[in-house]
Amino acid sequence: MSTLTRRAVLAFAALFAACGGLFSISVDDFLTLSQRLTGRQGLDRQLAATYLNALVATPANQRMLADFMGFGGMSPEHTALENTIIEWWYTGTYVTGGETKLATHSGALMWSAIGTPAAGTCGGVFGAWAQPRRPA
Amino acid sequence: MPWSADVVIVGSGVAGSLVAARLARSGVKVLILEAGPRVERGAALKQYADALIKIPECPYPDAPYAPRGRSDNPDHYLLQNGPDKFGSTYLRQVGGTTWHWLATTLRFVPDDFRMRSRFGVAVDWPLSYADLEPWYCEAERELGVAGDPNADLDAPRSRPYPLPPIPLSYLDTRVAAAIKGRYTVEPTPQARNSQPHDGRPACCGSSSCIPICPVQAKYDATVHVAQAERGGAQLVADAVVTRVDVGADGRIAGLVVKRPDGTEDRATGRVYVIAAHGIETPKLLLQSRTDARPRGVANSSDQVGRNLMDHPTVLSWGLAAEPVWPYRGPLSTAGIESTRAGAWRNDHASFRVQIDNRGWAWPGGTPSSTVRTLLKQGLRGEALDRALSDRTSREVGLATMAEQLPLPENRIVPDFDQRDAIGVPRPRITFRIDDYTRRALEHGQRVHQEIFDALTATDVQHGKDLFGAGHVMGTYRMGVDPRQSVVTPDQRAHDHANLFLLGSGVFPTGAASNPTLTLAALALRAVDPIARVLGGR
Repeated sequence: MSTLTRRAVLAFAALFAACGGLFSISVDDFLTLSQRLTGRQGLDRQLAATYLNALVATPANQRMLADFMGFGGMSPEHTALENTIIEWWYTGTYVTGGETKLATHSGALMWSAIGTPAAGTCGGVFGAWAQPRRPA
Repeated sequence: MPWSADVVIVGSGVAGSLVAARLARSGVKVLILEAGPRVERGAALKQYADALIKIPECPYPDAPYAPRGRSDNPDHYLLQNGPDKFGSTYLRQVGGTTWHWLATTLRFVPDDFRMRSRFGVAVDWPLSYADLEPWYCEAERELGVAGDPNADLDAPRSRPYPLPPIPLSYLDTRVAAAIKGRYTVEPTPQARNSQPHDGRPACCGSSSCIPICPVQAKYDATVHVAQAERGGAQLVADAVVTRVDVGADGRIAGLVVKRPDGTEDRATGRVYVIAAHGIETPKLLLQSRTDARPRGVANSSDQVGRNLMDHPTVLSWGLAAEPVWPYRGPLSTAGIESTRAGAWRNDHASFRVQIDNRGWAWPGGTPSSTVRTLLKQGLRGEALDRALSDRTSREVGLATMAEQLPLPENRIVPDFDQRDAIGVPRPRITFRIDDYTRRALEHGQRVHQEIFDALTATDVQHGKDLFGAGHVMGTYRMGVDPRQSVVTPDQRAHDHANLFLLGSGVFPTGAASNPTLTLAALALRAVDPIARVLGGR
């Protein structure tokens, strides 16, 4: 079993247990949700598993994630969770066990949004920085 | 295993490696002892990418046997007495701190060498700009400095820059146009390849010079470490020199070297060069105290460890009315340099204004923090992307770094009660930023405001925090009077005929310019005196 699949199963199991078996969200479901929230296609599945694992560790998040999939209504807490999911995809950082961690540097969506490679990545031909950048 | 060589060099940063390369090339048997490990660029790049906080030290090891500071925690290694925190850090590894320097290679201006006689402030250097000028040329050649041949930056030149200039960023040109007639935006000389040079490629604009250049377009001292090793020098990494022994004749007799496993070795030579930067060099000298020399080695003047200086730095940031497109290119390509020289230096310190190409990343943790701000405003999807692009495209960051007076009470001493993992005393720092410097920083932020006004910037903020510039200077000053200084103008210890001390620790005053080119020029100037002592003269 690949690490990815194992993570997905663990996430599923954790959520299933917490919800009394009534609802679970798979990595694919979370990817679909993430793509809807960010407006981006082709999001990384391993990152999705990382973020989902971190989210379902909190029971309240499990319930709200179920709501996002059509099983409940929306509240300010739901909006905050949506923002968290978007923030994690954009910054490449997430919180688990009360600690902020890095999931990806170059894969953070903010870089493509601002139209430049991640810092530390070569940024094009020599001297390109002298010209105005074409908006992303 | 004991080591011996003609010349034993402690430290493999820019000063030590330059001297090692030159001596080795001329057939001298050279041993370089480096406290820290060798670093492989690919591993460092991965560590950088994996780091949550991209502080200057993040790509590099923090070896327990060669600990060093952290920019996000000034108490991590240094023991701070205050009243101000000493905010600068340095690296202990092969190649030293040039791994994460910006590569700014300004020369000092002539008045920097005569502060007492021109302005009645601090002390004069025992040599002049004219004395050092040929060595500036040599240092520029060795480091591969790219510069604008039409800009002498108040420092007259006898030879052209070895490489053509690095282009100004779009931001630089917008600032230059906006403040034309009031200030001149000058292209910064940089030890960064503007074309393939010395077997290294041209800059690829990674916007990460600090902490690491991914392609080594930026010079770092591993260039000269490699030259030294090709010339036959032996480099021993993970070799912490813990004591300097002095013989009955007053000459240095040997060095005690501690290894990560706690075992000790001994290194001997005919000439010794300590180039372990402005904290570790004086600490080593002071911790080598004996009953016969209770003040430590090379310290009859009681000046070792004193006069610690940095370039205290303040930041300002704002949003330009139009896009200026930061987050590209080297982290800085231009600045205002005319504020380094002027008759007002009797009143306040010289300073320089650095234009940052990294938006608000330094003061504001952008672009991540901007994502959070915009999400709180309810933006999502394309609207979020548009706002993020617009906002970051207009970010302007400015930094002023100022000269600091050499105060004897600003000092580093070994704390014999607080030791690192292998039992070596940690550095204890007493540090106060004087009003002469603080007045300059206020002037600097007024210049920042003029720039923001000219750019019709909004959201302007002037930071109150003082940062270290990473420029550790003054702690084993040079001079002609052995009662007032530690080393001669040749950087030979007044007290020990076969000991040389290199690096920015020899600076009697710190000017406002980044110190590396000056310390490199001085190191190159010391090669002949070292050879003379080696030859018995």
